[in-house]
Amino acid sequence: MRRWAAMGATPEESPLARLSVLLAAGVANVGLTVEAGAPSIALTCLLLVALGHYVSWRGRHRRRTRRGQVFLGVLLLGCIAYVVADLVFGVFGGALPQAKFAMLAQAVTAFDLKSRRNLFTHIWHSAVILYIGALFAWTPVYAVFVLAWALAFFGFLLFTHRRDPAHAGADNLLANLRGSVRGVAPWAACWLVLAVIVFVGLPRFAGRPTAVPLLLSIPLPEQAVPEVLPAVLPLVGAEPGAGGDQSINLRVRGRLGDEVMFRVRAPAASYWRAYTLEEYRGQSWVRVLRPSRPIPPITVDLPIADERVGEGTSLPQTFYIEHPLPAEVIASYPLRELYFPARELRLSSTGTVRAPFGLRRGVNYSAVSTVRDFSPRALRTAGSLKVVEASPTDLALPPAIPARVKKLADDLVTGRATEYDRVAAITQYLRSNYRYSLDTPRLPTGSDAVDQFLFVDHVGFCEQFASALAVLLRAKGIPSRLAVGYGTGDHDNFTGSFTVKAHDAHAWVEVLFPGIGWMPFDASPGFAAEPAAQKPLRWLLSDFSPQVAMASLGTGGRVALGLGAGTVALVAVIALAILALRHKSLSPSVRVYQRSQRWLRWGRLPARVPWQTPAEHLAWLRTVSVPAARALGPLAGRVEATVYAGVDVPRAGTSLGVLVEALRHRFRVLHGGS
Amino acid sequence: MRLRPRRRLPGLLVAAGVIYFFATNSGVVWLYLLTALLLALVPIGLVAPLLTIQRLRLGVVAVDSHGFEPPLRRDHARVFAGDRLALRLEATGNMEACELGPLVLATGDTRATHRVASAIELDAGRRGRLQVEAILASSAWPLGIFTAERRLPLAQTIVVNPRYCVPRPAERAGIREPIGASSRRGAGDQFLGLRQYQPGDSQRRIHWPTTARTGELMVIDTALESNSPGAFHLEIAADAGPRSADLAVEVTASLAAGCVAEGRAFRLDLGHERTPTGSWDEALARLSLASAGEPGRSPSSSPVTIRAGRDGVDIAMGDRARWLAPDLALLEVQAILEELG
Repeated sequence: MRRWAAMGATPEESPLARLSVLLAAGVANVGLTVEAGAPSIALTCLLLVALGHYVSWRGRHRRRTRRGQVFLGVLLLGCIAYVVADLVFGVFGGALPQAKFAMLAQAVTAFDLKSRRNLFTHIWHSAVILYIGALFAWTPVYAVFVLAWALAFFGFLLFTHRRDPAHAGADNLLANLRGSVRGVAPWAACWLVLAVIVFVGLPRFAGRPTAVPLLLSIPLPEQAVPEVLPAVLPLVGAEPGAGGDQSINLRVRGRLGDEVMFRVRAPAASYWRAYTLEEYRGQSWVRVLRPSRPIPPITVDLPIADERVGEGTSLPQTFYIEHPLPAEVIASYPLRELYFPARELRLSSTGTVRAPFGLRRGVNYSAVSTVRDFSPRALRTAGSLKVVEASPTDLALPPAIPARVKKLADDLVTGRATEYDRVAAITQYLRSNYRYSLDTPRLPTGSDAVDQFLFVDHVGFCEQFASALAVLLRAKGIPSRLAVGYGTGDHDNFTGSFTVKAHDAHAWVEVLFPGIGWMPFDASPGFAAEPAAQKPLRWLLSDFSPQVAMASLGTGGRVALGLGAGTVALVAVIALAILALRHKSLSPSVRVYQRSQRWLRWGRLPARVPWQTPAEHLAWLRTVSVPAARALGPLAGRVEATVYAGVDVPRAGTSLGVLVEALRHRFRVLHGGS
Repeated sequence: MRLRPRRRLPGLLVAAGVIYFFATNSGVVWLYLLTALLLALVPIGLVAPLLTIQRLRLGVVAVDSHGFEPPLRRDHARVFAGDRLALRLEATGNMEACELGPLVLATGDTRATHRVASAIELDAGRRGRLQVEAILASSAWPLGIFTAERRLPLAQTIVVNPRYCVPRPAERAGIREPIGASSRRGAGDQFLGLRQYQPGDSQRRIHWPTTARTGELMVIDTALESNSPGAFHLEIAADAGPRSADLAVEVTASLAAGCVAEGRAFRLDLGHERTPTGSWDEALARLSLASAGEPGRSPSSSPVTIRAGRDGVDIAMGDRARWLAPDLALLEVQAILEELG
């Protein structure tokens, strides 16, 4: 049976602990590379990290030099300069600036891993990289990286705590590793099982987006050349460049592909709206050019002309664009907050936000929308208009609209007392009596598209259904408009994300309810009749985000920030007070002993490691410096008596004052002090 | 049993909380997974040391001491004041690979149920009875997140004997006589054993076979045969300080040891106790427990009286007397006793 060495075992000396840290860094880097790209810099950084670990291991006993520290500082500044240059000028492609900075900083600091604190910092640093990679991970493969990182962390905790005979060298590394694995394996298995249980039971709340996802892609300069973009809907004749299409031609239908347009992380499903079209011209819908106002890229209270935008549960969403899209910012309606990587955005009166460039692949942004009360009861009791007034365009119909369309509208709403009942009746009629098909007859020239759909074809797709609903509502004096965007997409239950493909392109209707605002309705069979988002689960910290506090400064945010900072300071003061009290409650000999450990460190003598008793430490110290051990001996004995027997009785000639003086004198003599 | 969190716990919880916060804000499932993995470490770090320490059984196998090297070979296994004591323990548990604070009890090679030998070292302290009541065992294995502590009963009484020296007779204080001469002439030297060479020993006393075997210079130690018994009276005044009392006991033990070394009988009177003769073992046992008491009867029958007072020790040897300061080292005591004869 092998006895484990009792002395000389420190985390800094453990090759296995350092190996665990290196493994964690490697896993994080590779995970980020696999999920988000940037392989060249990730690979370079990984090689540098490995080299840095080797250098740190070789130089772990050497003292830090001022020159070395300055050099490392300069390198870190270089990393910052690199990232800033990439962010501002796009010198290196502009993708993943945080990830690049994290990897570069990790590579630099890997050359200076002397203390256990450095090692802990380094492994948490790799957790940050793992986090950034997780933001881009959409497949279960990333679970392998997370598990591997966690195992490395487990090993790090193990090897920085246990006594390790292989500390002095790597000779017994494999034997030591084998022994450790055999001993710890049952516990590791228990840990993994427990982790699965916690993972399943962990409540998943919805909170405000934080800064990191927002800034993953850079704000493009305004002079960026706009790309030629495909239409958001497959029906239209495109007017590329300046944003979404200005019109939807109901006579033309495009092809629906399977390519992924974008992905959304959101706690609840919603229709992802791009923009609205207000003017119906019989065979097409046209956007009405309305004045828009500039808004900053980070806006907490979007001035959307709608009712109750700020009331209700918030729905945070983060979008990852996978396919070029028009410049209209896609999000659930109505938007309350927006965090978009552009220098300036424009907000129209219909709540459409437009970026200065097309949403190209790689762009990602966050938004917070409001989930308003969409219950029939709330909509039935809608009051009078407060803010929003219906534009004449929202009620206008072409003069040539056939009378039978109006008559149908009259028939459908007869006996319906409230606006909601009228809207619900027409929606239900369309959903029940018409067939949804992408294969529709060609619209004859000169005929009204809605009339053709309602009375001739009886078959259509989303544009026909939405157009019919809007026209029938307008015929009854209910303001409505056509909203286009995308349906909810495919929901991945495991990752909680939505994958939206080209064939999810969709059109629906927004109906204005007095006192409530524009609410979505969908008459297409097979889709939700009331496509409002569900209310996501909230928690105490859901509304807390430092980014939000910073962005809302000047509008009460300053107070919130002050209160938050005050709370943090208060907690810190209380924690310090508790620590001070705990320190005071220690017996005098233990306090002096702790102080003596500091002197040992200053003198570059081995201080006590956590698992050593004072006697064990003394024996260790004796092998290094007999005079120092002699000086510390009486105090160590007294501390042992205090800690283990609860008796702090000074022996003759070992009063604390005498001991302190003796220790000081000894250490001064030992280290050539005056 | 006591459970204490270690410094890693708050760090771990804060990290898990921060990652959970980011998970809720970004909706990234991997962050929930990472949070779960970090949080699940806490119960493992709590239960593992708890079970480890709960299933531990301890027993003392032997007591070793090292530090003071008594010159009499028969005292080899004794424990003396100021010695470092090693309690050799045998532990049984059914956990693989555990560490218990200062006790390192198991390795990764062990099977589910194992019996492990270990040792703890402690200071013997002053002479008297050293009562070991329990061992405070602690374990933070394997992750160092919590430390479980438990007092394991370990009833063990250890008698710590006083230190002593062997004062050499005046006629032998210098260069010793060759052993061959004395034994051949029948001078009465009694063979005591072998010991290490000390400066001043005659080279003719070196026992070369043993020296060759051990690699150290070993000499034959002899005691002068004598029939005149020594009689010592030890008094420890009620107001005597602990150091004075210890010094008086050391002096008495040294005088008795001198008699033993010379092969003479001795009598030891402690306070009012009076015993006709005593063996060395008995003398050490009595001296180790000697404490302050009433002054004894007239020491007239004892030519040597050692009296511990408040400020020091008085030695009276017939017509010679000496006062010893309480902070004298043993070697100084030896020199004084040799001087006193």
